Amino acid sequence: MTATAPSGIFSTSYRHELALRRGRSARLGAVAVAALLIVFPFVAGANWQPIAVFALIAGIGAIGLQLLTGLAGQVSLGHAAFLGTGAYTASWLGGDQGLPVYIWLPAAGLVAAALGGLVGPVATRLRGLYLAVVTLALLFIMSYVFEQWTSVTGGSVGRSTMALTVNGTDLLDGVTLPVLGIELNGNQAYWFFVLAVLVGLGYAARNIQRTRIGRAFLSVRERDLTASVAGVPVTRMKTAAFVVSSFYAGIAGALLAAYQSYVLPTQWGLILSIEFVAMIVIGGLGTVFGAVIGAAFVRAIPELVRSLTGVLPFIEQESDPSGGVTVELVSQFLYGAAIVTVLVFEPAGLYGLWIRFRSFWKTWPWSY
Amino acid sequence: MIKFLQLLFQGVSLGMIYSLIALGFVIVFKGTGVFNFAHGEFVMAAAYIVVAITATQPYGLAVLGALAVLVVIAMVVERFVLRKMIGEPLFAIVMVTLGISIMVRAVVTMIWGYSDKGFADPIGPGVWQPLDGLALAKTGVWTIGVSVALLVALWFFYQRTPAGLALRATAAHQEAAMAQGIDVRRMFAMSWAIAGLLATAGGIFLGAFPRQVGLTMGFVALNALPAIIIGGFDSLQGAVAGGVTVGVIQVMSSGYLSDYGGGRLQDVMPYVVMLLVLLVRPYGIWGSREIERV
Repeated sequence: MTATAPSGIFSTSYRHELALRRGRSARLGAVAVAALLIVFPFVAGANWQPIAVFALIAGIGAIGLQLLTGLAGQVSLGHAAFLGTGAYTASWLGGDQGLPVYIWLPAAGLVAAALGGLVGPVATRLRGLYLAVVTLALLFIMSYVFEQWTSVTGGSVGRSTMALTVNGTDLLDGVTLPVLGIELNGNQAYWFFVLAVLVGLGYAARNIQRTRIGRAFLSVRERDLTASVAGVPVTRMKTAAFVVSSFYAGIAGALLAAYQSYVLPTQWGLILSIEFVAMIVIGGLGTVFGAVIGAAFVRAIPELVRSLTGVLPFIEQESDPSGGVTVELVSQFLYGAAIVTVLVFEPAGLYGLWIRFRSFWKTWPWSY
Repeated sequence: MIKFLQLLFQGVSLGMIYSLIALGFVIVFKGTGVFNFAHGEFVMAAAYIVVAITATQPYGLAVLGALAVLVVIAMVVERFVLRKMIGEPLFAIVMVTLGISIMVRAVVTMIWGYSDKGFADPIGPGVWQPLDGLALAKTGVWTIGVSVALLVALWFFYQRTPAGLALRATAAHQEAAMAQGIDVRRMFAMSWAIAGLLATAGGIFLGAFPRQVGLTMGFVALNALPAIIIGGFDSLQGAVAGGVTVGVIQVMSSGYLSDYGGGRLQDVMPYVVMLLVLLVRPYGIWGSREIERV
């Protein structure tokens, strides 16, 4: 990425050096993105709204995995287990115990983080493939727990979850904004709630990246031996990465449970884990923004394929038990192909494409 | 005692299937440095192809057909995807193979649908009774016999033929092998072809074991992963020993522990044992120890 940066990064003051967004164009870009995010739920069609909410929720989980895999370099195929933990913690606290959202939402994150902390000591002894397989084992063991612990998870038939209530109204029923008087439907209300959580957690992740811990994560990723020589406590940093990433996953799981209002133990499986890894790979490894873009992309594929059916009539709309070229299967195939294509042709992902595009126009016509 | 022997036999025959699948992972990993997470889907695809061809053609032709398709798929994947990934970090390579596994799964579902298919094997459901009360399924006997024959052939190929020697040399040190005039690219292709062959064998037996072929087979084949970990990632004999261990553990726990943990303990037992082994020996029982001073 440094190779494509126009001609070095110049800072003339410490303020500039420390700023998250440097320069006027970056600030304008941030304002544009913010405006787009606020307007989006009002202009998006009814079929896109739920997908947008799912994408935002997935974005939170993807940021967590990004911190663990993209930043600290620890491969994890067990991310879905932490989402499930968060979902069931929230369902138990919010649904069975009747506690409000400001308790069950953080609690879901904390319980998942605690599980991550338990896994940490085992996982930090291992590297690369062994770590991938051990996190896979964790995933299988946790899905077994989700299926067997009937009193909390409802067993294989699943359970209904809690409602996300703010000021006594369920967000799914839609709310009226107090001052502005704008009426939001359920999806729009969820969009703004999840967006607020995502922005907060994304901002935190961005800052984790820039601080001492983030730099320690990076050094562990590049080479753990070098990191320990430089004075980074490698084992502690790896465990910390697992804890932080599981916290994000727990929050995402809780929000997902609330939005779906019914959860099944099978949904926290290997496929969900792979989806999360695909999100950060497609979006671009090591960047918070990339994780969110990747999440949006992966969640949007099925709807994109569905809108293609007008152009490509051989794709069937409805999924069929006997297979066939259906929207569901085509989008599955495409997302597998997207992973392969990204890794073979643009390892920096969608974010890398954007950087290339940007630096091309920034330096145009003298691109060298 | 009879129950124990009965379960031991079933465990070993299931374990031999896992060994074949595990060897497919290990041979590619040792030979080319790629850990192919799509191998489970290859196994599944092989079983589906056999089912599809046996509907109209004799069994032998079906096996040959599946073998041809799988070897070609494996070599295409190697040539056009993983050849381009040489030198990329391990994580990227794992992700590419996961992407391929998703694609294979989607294509298999498009062609054959979601529901399970019956699997007709030429051996039939008969049993063989060497002892009074001990009934050994003929499929199981055949599974063990054919697997052992395959393993011996593989051992002979690796240890006693020039091509096997070249493969081992490539696995040991690629540059040194090139300096000796070995065509490393051909060796890579050959490793993948052998993995395709093992996937076909594994798919056929895994389909014959519960006598049906379904989309869950890709996940069942992942049970070869604990086998590999227990044995050690880069050890061929470790893969076989680990495979048999996992098979026996699974069948024993389904036979003796069916009253506990909702009767599904056999699904997680291999992973629990794997974690225990890893706590004691982080490189598996026969795996080579990476030099590590962290």
